[in-house]
Amino acid sequence: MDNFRGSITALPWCAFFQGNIVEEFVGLTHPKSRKRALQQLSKQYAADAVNIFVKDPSTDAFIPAPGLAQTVANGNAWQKLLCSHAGQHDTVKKHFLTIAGKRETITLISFSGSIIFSINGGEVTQQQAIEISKVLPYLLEIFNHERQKQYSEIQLSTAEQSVTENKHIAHKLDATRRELHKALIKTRDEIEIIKRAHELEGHVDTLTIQRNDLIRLNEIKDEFISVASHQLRTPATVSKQYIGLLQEGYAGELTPSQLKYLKTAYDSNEALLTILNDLLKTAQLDSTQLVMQKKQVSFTHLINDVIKQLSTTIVSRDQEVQFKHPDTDISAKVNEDEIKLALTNVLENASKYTSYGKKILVHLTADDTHVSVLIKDEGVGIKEKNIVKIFEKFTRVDNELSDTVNGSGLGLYMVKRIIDLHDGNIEVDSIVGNGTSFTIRLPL
Amino acid sequence: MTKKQYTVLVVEDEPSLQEVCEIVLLSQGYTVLTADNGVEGLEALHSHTIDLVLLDLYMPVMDGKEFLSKFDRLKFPSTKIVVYSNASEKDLDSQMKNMGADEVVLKSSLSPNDLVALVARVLA
Repeated sequence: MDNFRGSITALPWCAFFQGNIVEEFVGLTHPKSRKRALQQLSKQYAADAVNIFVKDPSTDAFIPAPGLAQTVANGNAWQKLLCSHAGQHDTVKKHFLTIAGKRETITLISFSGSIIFSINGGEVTQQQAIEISKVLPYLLEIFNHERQKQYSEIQLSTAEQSVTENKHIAHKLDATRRELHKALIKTRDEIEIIKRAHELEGHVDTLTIQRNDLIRLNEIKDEFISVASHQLRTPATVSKQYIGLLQEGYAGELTPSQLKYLKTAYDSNEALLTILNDLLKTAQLDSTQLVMQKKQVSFTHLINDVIKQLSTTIVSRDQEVQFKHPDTDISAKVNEDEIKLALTNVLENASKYTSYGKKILVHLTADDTHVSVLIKDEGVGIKEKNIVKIFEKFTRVDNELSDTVNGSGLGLYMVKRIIDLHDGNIEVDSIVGNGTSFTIRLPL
Repeated sequence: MTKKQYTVLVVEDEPSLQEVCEIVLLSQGYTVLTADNGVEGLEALHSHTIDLVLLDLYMPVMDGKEFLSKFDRLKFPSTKIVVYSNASEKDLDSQMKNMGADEVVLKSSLSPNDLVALVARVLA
């Protein structure tokens, strides 16, 4: 019977069996119908319960038939009873078994040492046992099929579980892979950033060295200008002082021709000093890097000082300077010395290039953002084509007075440079023969 | 003849310019002392009563800036100091005044008579 491999569809003996138990058993039963078959069997034998046990070929032990109601009680005694029937064939034996304090009549029917029916509390005849034995092949087939199914289900479930787990692992791996990819990209980016940072640090170091070199060079330049100015001016100063001693009578009275010759020497020495001073000042302004020490300065006072400083020149030329300004003081944040120099240069030019006895107007005004100084003369004027040149270095334009006026050609260059360093601007308006107006505008 | 009460110290390393100052100021009745550098200048300051110092800036041994930094205004409250130099530095005027100078004058801009006027004005 163990090796039964027959079809379970042909059941010629079914008619002999009472009721439809066999059909119930062999009709590819659902667990519910198997349970119902066992209930019908119980009813037929007037038993409390019918259980079916099959021998597991792999362990050689009897186990409750797959998919059928089970009663496993009284542990070892029950197992021992089942095993004692293992080797017997088609036998019906009655036993008494104490289950949970209750003495029960158990009929055990063993078939071919492979299947055991246990019938609790009912009566089974030998004939009935024989009838039952006829369905054994089909029962075995069902059980094997069932066992196979269960095994497959377990396998499938395990496989499914494994697939699920693998999927889960795959997802995890994928997520990890993505994380790693991200981390790799991030690391690459970071490495790139670090590389760039190193490069930049290198550039910063180079720039710092260059900057320090430039600062040092600038300091050397400033020092050079300072020392050079002292060294260059000193001989000219000595000449000036000794000529002065003679001119001013410290060495006794001189003849008119001696005084005339000395005047020429003095003027020439003054021209040399002017050029030296302008050259040194230009060098100093050119080395100034956009930063000047500034403070709040009253322009009314500053312009008065400039006019006062130039009064000797102005008076000597019989000129008049008219200074117009508002009643309230106007002040702006500037470098006083530099602005004074710029205004002096412009006013001195106005005087130098204006004939004797003429007027010069200085007009100070202010709006919300700027202070403006207009210096307007009645002088020789500047040709339009020359206006663009006057702020260039060493420029001296021709006019009817240029032969009589000394200068280095640096005065207006310095003015423009000083105004630029103050973020201001200077405008020129001129008509030849009529005069020139310079307007300087500086932020408040 | 009140001018004779004043003593002027000329701190100057250039002998010809020292000489000019001496000639000019002596002619006006001042007592004139000369020093070739800052060290000599400080010594003279401590050994005489000085009313005015004409101070050059570029000098050997001790220059005018160091002289100013060592000059104790509290010890010599009435001594005037005129920086009398041909140096040309950024913001020299305010720099020197911050260090205690009363006036800053460009040497090359003055004739002998201008120097007389300057000294008279500062001592007035």
